[in-house]
Amino acid sequence: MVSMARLFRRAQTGVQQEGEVPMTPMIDVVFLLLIYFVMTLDPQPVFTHLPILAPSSGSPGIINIRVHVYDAFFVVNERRVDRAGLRSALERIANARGALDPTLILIADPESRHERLVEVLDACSEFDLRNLSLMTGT
Amino acid sequence: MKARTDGKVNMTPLIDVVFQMIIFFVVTAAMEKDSVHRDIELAHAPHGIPQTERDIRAVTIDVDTTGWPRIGTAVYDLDRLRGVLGEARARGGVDFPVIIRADARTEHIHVSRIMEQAKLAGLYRVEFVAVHSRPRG
Repeated sequence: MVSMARLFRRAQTGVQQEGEVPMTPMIDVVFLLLIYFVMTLDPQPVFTHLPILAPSSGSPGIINIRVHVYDAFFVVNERRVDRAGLRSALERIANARGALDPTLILIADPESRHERLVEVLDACSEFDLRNLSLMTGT
Repeated sequence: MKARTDGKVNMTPLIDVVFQMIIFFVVTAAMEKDSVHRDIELAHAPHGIPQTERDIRAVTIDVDTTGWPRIGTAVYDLDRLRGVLGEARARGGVDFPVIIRADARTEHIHVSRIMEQAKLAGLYRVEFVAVHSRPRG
């Protein structure tokens, strides 16, 4: 005994058995949705670039501040500081600079990890100190 | 099903698949360009300026903890690196950046050697790449 509805469906699709859902168009649509979302995804910038200028032989700025970068600590103006001390020192320098932009001479110890230099550059970027010059030494 | 009985190949699914593959490769190629080698762990700089556009002339040099410079997948010694940078300078001028992606644990001496080669090649702009987020933990 074949019901009326079943007959009707057979007539429509030709091959479909009752109760089976066709997967192919569904997967097609899912793929298209996936591609749509991948393409419209606007990723937040992951990387940041910290620019620096090689020291020039020309006359540096009027105010020079020497920041030594060692692996375990920093030295700002002959004073040994830790990371928090470096930030507060740079903040003071940034607040006191007025119209004269001080030149920060960063002197990195050859054995210090690159991470430590990036910390200093990050702190400089935070307080908008842009005149940076990097040297290697102890 | 019925249409295929006479030996004709149905082209529609074939074209569908080819399109999907083209889109897949285009998307993954665009992602590949900015990816960093997996054994390089970058330092964190939450206050740095996020990088949105890049100078196409820029030379990106990767430095892992061993200190050997690498452009793309090729490892260079310092003399050959200077040659490459010199050629880049001859083509692009002096005002493009040399981008250094150094592992956070790399000793500064390795980075400074690369900067020295850039300077000898006449390139004065150096940029360090860091991750624009706070370190975890």
